[in-house]
Amino acid sequence: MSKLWRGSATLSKVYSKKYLKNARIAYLFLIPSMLGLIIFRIFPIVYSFIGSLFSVSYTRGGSLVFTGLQNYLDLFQDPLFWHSLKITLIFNLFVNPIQIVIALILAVLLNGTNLSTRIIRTLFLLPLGVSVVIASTIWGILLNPHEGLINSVLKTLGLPMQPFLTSPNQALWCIILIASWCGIPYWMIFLLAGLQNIPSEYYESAKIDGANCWQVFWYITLPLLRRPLVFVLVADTSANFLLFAPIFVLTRGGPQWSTNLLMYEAYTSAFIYSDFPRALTITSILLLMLLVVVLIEIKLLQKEE
Amino acid sequence: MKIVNLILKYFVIIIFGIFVITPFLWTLVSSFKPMSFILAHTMPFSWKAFIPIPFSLDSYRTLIEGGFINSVIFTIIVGAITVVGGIFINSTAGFAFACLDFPGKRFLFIVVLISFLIPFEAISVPLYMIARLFHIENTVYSLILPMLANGLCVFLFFQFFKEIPSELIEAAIIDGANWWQIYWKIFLPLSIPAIISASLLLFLSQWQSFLWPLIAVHKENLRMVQVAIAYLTIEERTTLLHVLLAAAVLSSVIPLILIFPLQRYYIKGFVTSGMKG
Amino acid sequence: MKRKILMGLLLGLLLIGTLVNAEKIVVFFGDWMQSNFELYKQVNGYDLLEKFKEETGIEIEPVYYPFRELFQAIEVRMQAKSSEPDVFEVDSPLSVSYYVRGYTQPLDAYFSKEEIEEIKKKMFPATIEIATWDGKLLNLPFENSSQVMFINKDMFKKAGIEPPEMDVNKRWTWKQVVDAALKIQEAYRKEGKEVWGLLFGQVSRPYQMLPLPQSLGGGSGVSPDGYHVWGYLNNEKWKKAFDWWYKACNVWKIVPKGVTPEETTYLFLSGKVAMFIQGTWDIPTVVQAEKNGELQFEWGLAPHPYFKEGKPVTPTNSWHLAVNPYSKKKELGVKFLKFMARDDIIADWFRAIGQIVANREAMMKVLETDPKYKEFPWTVYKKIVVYELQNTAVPRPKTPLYLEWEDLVTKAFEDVRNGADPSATLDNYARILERMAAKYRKYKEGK
Repeated sequence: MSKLWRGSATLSKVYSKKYLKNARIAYLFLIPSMLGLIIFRIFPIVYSFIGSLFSVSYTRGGSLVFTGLQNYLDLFQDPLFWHSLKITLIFNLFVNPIQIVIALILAVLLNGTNLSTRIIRTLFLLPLGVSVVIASTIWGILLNPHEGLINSVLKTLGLPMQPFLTSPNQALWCIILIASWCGIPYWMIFLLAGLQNIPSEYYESAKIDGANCWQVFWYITLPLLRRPLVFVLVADTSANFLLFAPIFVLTRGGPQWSTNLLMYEAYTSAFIYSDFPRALTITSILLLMLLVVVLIEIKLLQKEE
Repeated sequence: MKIVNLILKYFVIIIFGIFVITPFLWTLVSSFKPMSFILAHTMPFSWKAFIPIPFSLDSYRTLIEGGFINSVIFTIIVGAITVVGGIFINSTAGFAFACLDFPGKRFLFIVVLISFLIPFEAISVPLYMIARLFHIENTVYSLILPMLANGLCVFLFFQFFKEIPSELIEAAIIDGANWWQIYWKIFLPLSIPAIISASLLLFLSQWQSFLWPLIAVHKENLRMVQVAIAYLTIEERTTLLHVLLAAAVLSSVIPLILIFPLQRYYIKGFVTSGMKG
Repeated sequence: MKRKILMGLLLGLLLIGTLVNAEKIVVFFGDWMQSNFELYKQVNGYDLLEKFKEETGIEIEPVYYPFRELFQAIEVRMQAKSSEPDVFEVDSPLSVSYYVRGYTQPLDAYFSKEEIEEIKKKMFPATIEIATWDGKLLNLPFENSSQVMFINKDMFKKAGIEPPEMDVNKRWTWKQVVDAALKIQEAYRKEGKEVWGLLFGQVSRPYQMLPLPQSLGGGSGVSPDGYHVWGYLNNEKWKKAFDWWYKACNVWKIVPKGVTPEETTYLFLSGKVAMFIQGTWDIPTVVQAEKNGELQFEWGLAPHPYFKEGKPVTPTNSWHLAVNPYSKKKELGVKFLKFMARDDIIADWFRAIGQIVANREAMMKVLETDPKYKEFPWTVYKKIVVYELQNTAVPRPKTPLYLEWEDLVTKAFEDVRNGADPSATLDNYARILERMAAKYRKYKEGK
């Protein structure tokens, strides 16, 4: 705590009384939300982390035995863990840029106030109200290799039908597709809010200076969208790292483990294998990884003032 | 050059439009068909897949008779309360992070970040135990209280408030305003787009919530919409696909009815004119 | 006069006292039970839970969950060692798994030896077998299941083949099924239409698919003591069965890929499947579709096929009832279990709901007396189902690692369905499961 004080030591020397007074006011602003977060999020996750230090003893009828970091060691020796980790990293490497870039393009293109734009924009928001579970079920029917709509359209157009979710090579891409269908409208809204915040004067003066739309986008829009973009990147990364609903509904980690995301492995351990300690171990690792990734994203892209 | 750009723009919109809307269109049409015909027209491809013939309101009837509407109304109420309460407490926290300095700022910021990186499944058991401890299990409070404080929301407001130029704060302080007035009279009114985005975030977190309401509450009149859908569509050994499709249609249309009028408040320039410079 | 008033008051207080103290227990049911209870009341004229309350003074608060979520809810409660629910439904293959985790206590803790013997005698054998471990009966069998083959007669007609009959003595072999499927698909291909010869209802799930290796004599896929998988899952007969499955999906192509268990009934109803192997619970669904005029073809029922070189095997088992060891009202929960073991109650249950029960005595009583079972399709119960339940029904393996086993064997069937090598797949999954079994073995040896 004292180290954090020293960071603002210069301020405290000059404004020490004011600083303390402000700090008190800051806490008043913070307490409702922080209290909620600590009680309903932080405390449970600490409890869960502690839970990962125990194992189930099947001789004592399922009671827990303290085993320290044994669960972590067991996990690191499990080839399935490393495979799931690889799949998770590949998945996130592709799904995040795809979702954000498309959401950005759509936000820019649909950034208008006339009625037709508003109607089209609203249509693009249709996937929002549908839960990921329902969306996965519907896409599962559409992507069916024999009976699905997508394949029947391909067949009619003379193109070869695809195995989609039944192929180890295509399944993960189908999951990316479904996750994008659900996610893009969501991120589009946040980016739209950010776009609306850019004063029109900038665009007008750029037009006067003779800039074309690509230059406007690159040199004006993007830099001014930095903060909303960082928000979307962080939120999207965390949402995708923790995603497993389409796997749960459609592929259950297959075919041939090609879609076995780490979060799904955790869910399976908890609710299918009834092995909560293993599940908590996986989620603790996942949380740590995610925290590191998010901090890097913020550090790299956020301007420190 | 301009025409090329225009064609490109419409091309992109149409391509993504097809991607986004086609599944919804098929779902809409199929929800009006009887059970035996849902998979009948997809292969080989026929236009009948997009026309509701034979027509049947069976799916919708099952939904409505099963009390779906009640769960919708209940979820909207819970969502509204979460939005109002959540906007308030999360924006104040975001304000503190953006404009004030205090000991433990970095630590608490990490707390905020961690809070939305936590998968719910990892905390379902301890959260249930906490709900029992506070005796809010199986009450509406267990649905609302854990969802009010939202780290993502705090982060959203933080990002947005940081954009507001500090000159406004300095001017206000010179005028003798205290922090509460700065927050309430200056920052909030300037943040309408952020408030709308945060409202959406909070509302959708309730609209799409499933595992927590399932565990925390089992009274029938406290059923949230996604849980109600599961009850109405998941049978012992099968899923009532046709009812699921009808549920998908209704559950996507209802938030839209709430969102569409709010788009007016995303007006460009309204909030920022006179601010920069 | 005053005395009378006093007595009246005392009596009144006592009455209120018993009402207030009307003991209550919480029971977790699957949500299909809610409509089942309503149906029960409709057909039998009294409410089952009400009757229990009248006879014992105990009130039941039922809590209903959808199928998948019932497991999750039980997990969370048991992990939290919650005293609620007092009683819950157990998916019978999970009996051993729940027992080693301490989620249930064997019945000998609350039933007398004679009571247990009586229960064992009147239930179908497979329902007792799946819930017996270490010589103890782990929970109370309640519901049961069996499978038959649904037939689209029009498709057989088109190909000019005689469909199989509703007769256990004329059971088809898998070879006959494959030949018919190929002929039917060919007949439709000539007209440019694509149909499917064969479809399994709960496709890839062990519940449905286990008869394939078991009919060949490959065993249950787990060692008899339940702690080993290697050599039992990937033995020669299992590989032969998987090879057949691979061919059915990828070479002969009589089984469609990508169709999930949720979609299979819809596919059959839409008239695209010639032979559909599914549980008897779908009979009412087809009957209803027919009544609504939605069914575009004539349908029939036949017995579950088998491998000629082996013997017939059918899937079985369903929900049982168990008492929560952390409950504070165990004796009350036990009373409910004893109530649900009664012949008259279960007979009324079967009469109203029509889904197969574990109590053979109760079920036979209804089958003999109720005129409904003299007409198609309900004749299948007497002609096929009872025979299967007594003779060919084989339960799923009993092992502490049943949860992991079921999940991975499903994946094995799915992978092979989608084109993976059958032999390598079985070896691979057997290896993974053997490693998973280690954690149970460790505790068995008494760590």
